[in-house]
Amino acid sequence: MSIITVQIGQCGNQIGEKLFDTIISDSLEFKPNKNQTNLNYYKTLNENYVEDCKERFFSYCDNSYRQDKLYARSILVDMESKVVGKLLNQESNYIFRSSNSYTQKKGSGNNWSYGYCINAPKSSQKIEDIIRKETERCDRLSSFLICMSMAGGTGSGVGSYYTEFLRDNYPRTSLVNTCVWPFSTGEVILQNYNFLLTLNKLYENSDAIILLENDILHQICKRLSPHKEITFDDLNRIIGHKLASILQPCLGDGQQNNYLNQVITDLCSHNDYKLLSLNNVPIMSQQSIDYSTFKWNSLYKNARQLLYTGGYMDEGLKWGLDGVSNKTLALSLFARGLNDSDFEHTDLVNGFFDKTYMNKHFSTKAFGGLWPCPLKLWQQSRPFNNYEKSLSLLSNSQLPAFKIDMLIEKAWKMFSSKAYLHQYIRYKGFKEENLLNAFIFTEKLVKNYKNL
Amino acid sequence: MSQIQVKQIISSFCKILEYFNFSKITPEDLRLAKFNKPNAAPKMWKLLFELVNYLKTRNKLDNQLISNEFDSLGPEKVVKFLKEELLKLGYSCDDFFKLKSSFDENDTSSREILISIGWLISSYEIIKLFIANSNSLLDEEYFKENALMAMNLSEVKKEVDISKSHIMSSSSKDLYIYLNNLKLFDGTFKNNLNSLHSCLSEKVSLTHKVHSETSGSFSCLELHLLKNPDQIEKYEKILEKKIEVQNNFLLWIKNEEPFWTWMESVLDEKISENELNLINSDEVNTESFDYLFAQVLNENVNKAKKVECEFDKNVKKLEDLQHDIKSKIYSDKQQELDRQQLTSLKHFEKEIIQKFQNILLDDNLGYSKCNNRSISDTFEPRLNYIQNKSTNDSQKIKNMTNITEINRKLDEKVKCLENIFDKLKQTATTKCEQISSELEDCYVVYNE
Repeated sequence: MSIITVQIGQCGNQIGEKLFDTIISDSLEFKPNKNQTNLNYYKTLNENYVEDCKERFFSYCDNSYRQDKLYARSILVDMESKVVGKLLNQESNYIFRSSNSYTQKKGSGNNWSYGYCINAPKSSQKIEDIIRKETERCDRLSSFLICMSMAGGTGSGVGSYYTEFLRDNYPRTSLVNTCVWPFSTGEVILQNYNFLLTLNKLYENSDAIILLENDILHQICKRLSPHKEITFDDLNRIIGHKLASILQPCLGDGQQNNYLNQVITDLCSHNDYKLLSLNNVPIMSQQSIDYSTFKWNSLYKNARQLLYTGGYMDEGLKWGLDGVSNKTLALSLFARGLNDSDFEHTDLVNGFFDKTYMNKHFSTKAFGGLWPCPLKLWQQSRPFNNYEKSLSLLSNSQLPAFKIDMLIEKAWKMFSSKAYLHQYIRYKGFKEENLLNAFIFTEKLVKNYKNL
Repeated sequence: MSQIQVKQIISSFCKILEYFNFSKITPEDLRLAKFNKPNAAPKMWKLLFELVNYLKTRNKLDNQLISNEFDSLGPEKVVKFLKEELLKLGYSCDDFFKLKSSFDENDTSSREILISIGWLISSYEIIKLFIANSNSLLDEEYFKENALMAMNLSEVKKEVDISKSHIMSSSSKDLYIYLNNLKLFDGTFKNNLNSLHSCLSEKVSLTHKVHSETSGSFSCLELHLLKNPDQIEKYEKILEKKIEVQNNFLLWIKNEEPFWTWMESVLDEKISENELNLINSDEVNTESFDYLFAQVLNENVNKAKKVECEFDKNVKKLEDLQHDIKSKIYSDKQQELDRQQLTSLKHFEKEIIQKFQNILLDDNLGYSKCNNRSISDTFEPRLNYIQNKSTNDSQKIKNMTNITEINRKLDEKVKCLENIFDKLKQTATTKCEQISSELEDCYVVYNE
């Protein structure tokens, strides 16, 4: 079961790089604890884990030359050649196939319309070939993971185009978009328009949208290293960690594998609700991990608090009971690391997410109660990415909708004075109505979530 | 025809039965049954029981399960069950239905059962059925055909019930919630179908890999065995068994004749014995064939009438309800249907359709399915033949008239039942169509 990552735009490519870096370092550079008992068991556990991981994310060379090398199952698309070129040239434990990349000279100028209407159709013939070849390398394709930003022109415009493209050409394969939400202070002047147009297109075609906010990532980095200047590289590293923590092998009840399409089935089966937030407990800097010990008890406690207060990290968590209450439709928990007590994970989950908690925070008016299976637990006793124990929460909840609401307001102010609109209409195939429809659609989406 | 040949064909028949998980039976048992020897009866009853069950399920028998069922039912119920089932299958030999229901050591009913077994094998072509079902682990189709059967049906049903209750419980409150839940399940189904599809394409691509790597000379199973030599022995055994049964099939197809001549000799045995016992044959049998048949038929006719009556009532009720709702909608200018009314209407509609389907699927009404004519064609001459030989003239005439009388009555009843059945089916289909079209009108009104 494999996942093909489609990296679109500068941001998408950088995220993809960090994702594969995390996966490969987590898989290959694992050293079991020295005072570990039962070493043989962990050895086979680790071997299976690495084997599974390779099958998911990497393929081998087609011909005999360099057969031992791992090739990322990844497709690199950018309208400029700088970032992709750098990725192709790096020497690491794995390689991006140069035949899997598409670049050209002229970027999309931060304009969704230019990316969607001009750049993307121009490249579609070549990219179709690339995608087809890559899918043929997989015995079984679970899903496409599309990495993109929502601010720039290439990520948002070309990304929207290819999400639509993949949906048309691979209707039976699930599509998951990982979208980076721009800084609210603004990286690009057109970002709010771009955001709405992208969200509209993705909602039509994608199965799930994982939203990652630069604002929050920045705050996390700030806490991890308060005295350092924070770069995009740091933010992307966090994203890589987050994504890998849900994509690496894990088992559900009945030895079910956490293939991405399976995870998505649990979380986003309803068409109107497919915004996902991704949180991790704990998040720490590399230095402090070595000096910390964790208890599952406290991790679950933090996770549960994090979920309903809508926080982003276990440090500085709000413990008050009032304030915003975040309704969640469905949650997938990924528990990685050794069990430390007599309690099984299922007991812990049932203890912390008990009936009253579920009824308060998972039960919705729109569905007349809980979803059929609102909470899913995935387990893996092999530790992940140097964390002795870690917990990831992938949830379909109200929180993103509130933020989108604020963004709509800003964008509407611009739109009502028709600011920058000519930049979009310039390109053939884009009309003012498109943007207006995106507004209407997004407002409906927000309303759906708010009325839960 | 030599004696050895008969023995050979009978023993191959026994082996075929054994391959299909029937309880072990030997040619000697059959021989004992032919001469009505004691001890043979229980085995014959069991064989008949298993055959009937096999015919019902068309699947490899689970020997343990059948044995348990056989033991737990007890002689009386087993015999009653078999009599009823054979009746439904179209068996009409009077003597069989007169048999006592016990597995007594000294019971001398085994020949009669053997005859019925012979009839079952010939008229339902059981050996052909066996041949059609003789897939084993070695065949590629085996998994395809057995996948559904291996699935735990009760578990699936439970799952479906849970989903159903989830949708239904919310539906009673609010249409919006109902729709939301439906959409949710729709999404889940879609996703699950997609992952099934991906499994299938994986299988195809892996099979392709196997064939292209071995340039098509190995099947997946062969490659699997090459990789796991320790399993070869297991498959060898399966293969040997399969070859054996195929040989037996072959033998049967070529030399079916002696078996049937032997069966005829069983019949002759019965006739000659009947002549001997003629003098003290004035026993009164309550549970004879015509009595049983008539009883079951009567039951069915009554049942059909009752169902028809109930159906009429229900339709009337439904029409009234519809009329009510329609008039209310038009008179109130409300343009909206009461939520409760709509659900009750739908519920009612479903209930009726369900009831009707139950009738259609009812096993006991399956008489019309089995061909009455062929039964009389195949067996009556033999019966007559027996009667001819066994009785003096006056009794013979009496019997003949009796048989024709019974046949006439039965034909009448069957026809009557079929008529009712057809009529019911027709009216129901038209009613259902009418109702659903009219209901659609109502829904439209509601939606507006």
